Amino acid sequence: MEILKWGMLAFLVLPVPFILGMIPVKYMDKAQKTPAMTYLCGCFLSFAVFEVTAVPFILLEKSFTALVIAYTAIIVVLFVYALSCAKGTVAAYIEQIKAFRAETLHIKAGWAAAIIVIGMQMAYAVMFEYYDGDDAYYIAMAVLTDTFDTMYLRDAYSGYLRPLDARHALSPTPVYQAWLSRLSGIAPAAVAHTMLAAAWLLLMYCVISQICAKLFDRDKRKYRPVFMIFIALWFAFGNISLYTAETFAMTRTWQGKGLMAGTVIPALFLCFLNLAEEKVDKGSFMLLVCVVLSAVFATSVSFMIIPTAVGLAAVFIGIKKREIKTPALMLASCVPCILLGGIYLVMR
Amino acid sequence: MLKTIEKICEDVILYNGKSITLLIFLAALIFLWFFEKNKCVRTALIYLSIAELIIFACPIYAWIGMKIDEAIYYRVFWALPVGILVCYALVLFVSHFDTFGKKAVVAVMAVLLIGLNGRLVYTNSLHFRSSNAYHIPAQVIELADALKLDNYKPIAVLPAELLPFFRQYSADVFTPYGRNMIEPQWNFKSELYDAMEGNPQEYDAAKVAECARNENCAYVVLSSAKQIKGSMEEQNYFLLNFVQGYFIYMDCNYYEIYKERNLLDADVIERKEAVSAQPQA
Repeated sequence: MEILKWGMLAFLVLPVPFILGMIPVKYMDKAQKTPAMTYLCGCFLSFAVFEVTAVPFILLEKSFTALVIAYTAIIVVLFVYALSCAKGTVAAYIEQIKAFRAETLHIKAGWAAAIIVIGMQMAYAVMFEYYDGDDAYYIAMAVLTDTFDTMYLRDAYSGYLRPLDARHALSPTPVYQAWLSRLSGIAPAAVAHTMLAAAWLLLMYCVISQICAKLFDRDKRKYRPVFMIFIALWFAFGNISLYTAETFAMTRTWQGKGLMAGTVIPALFLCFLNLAEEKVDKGSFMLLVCVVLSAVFATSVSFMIIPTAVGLAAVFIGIKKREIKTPALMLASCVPCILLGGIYLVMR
Repeated sequence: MLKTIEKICEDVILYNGKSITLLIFLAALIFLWFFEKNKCVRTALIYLSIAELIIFACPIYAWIGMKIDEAIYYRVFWALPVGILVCYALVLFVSHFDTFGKKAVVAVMAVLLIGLNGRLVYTNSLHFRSSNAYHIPAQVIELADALKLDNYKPIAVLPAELLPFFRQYSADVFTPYGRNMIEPQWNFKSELYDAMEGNPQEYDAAKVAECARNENCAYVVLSSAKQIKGSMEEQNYFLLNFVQGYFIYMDCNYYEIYKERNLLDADVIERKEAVSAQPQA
């Protein structure tokens, strides 16, 4: 029975986002139709959909069960639709596998080394625990959500009833973890510390691998594994203080803050790299919208970072491309973040 | 405004720790400024990073950010792609050498730079080999299971060392306070917490019992590592269980109320009856 529960959790965290990712990837060019891009697109799509679904339920103080039904129904519909989008993407994967087979032994060995370093980090995340005091809020909130069927209406430290915790309610990562827990039957602490600690690390490296592909294209592609090894070591040795993005990404991978620091912000730069190109596909805009909403899903600090970063990027991209359409769409993608930021300032 | 500038400097120093990461980042930016030819990369990474650096260090922007939440202003620095730019610059630097041997030597030096400048996250003293999938201490799990009732959610007061973990495992027991109480900078106050933790060597049974009753606690969990001045039995508690170094005492008043309302599990009733049957000392 326990193995079935873990199987269900793994299904929700790995294949479901992967299939969902077929939707944005369908609208991307062939070079971007990679398994890593598909997985990261699916993860960000599922976070974004969760954000827009969960926040109204939370603010209206509806039950968690109602949210579980609504969100699961949406995911099922998207999943079925995503399956119909898979055809062209799978063909692109097959071409990539053929191209990889033709690579030199040096490059294959480099990739093997990068995968080993990243795999060791994932294994370490599963086998070792890291004491972080903030889990006493975030994981406890997921446990309360599942147990009492309410969202942010109980004090995480005591379990007692309290008015809506507006400071945290707009970034419902713990509620998402409670959703995973409800559907799989695995306790939220195990969902976060054992499954998401590894899966969201994988997501982080998927994002970085796509940035790597952008930085090292054509004749520079042979340097991709070197970059991946360097960046994996950079994260491993990034604990220069308690405050760095690397420390949060490696020690609090399962928390919204860790997700923001390690994954969402690099994904934002991936979007900027895509949008700075002369020809921009629809899929890149879809990804930007999902990443912006995922930032809000992760942490309230996004209300400050996202409009600043996207606003600045829109200006530079507008100047570089001498056009207004891309910057205008980029700024439009920030509207939900700004609206939620306004709600945050009013409610806190 | 001067205070804001001071806080920005303080945040930068705290972020950087004892490393030279910021200098490496600036060196990488300068290197890429001269050697990166791809306009997309220049726009999306180099120019944007420089603009972000200027904006985040701008006192007016920082003042607004600190008005929202001063304690977490340092998190805006996450928006600088430090790792990506440094590693990219290092790989470009490696690629400038012509032979494989030279490239390998420079790559090893780059790895040494990353390793010597940084600090391995896994050597952090807060990392432990986990004994379960929850990644929380085993005694917390056993204790939470021992406190749980099938038909009711009681209130229990716990020793401070259990507070960060207990509610991560179970919401079936209420606690008068949690991890909020052990963070001195949050300034939470509780007479019960003072009674439990005020003396690191000893519990005062009378004080603990009085405060626990004021907070409606049915259970009091005491660490066996500390002495007990007086006894909980004298305060009308009975020893329900001893789990992993912790005594679980139940208030006899609550016991009677719960029993009357059929809220107790059979093992709790059995234990109480066994205690009552023992001759009084």
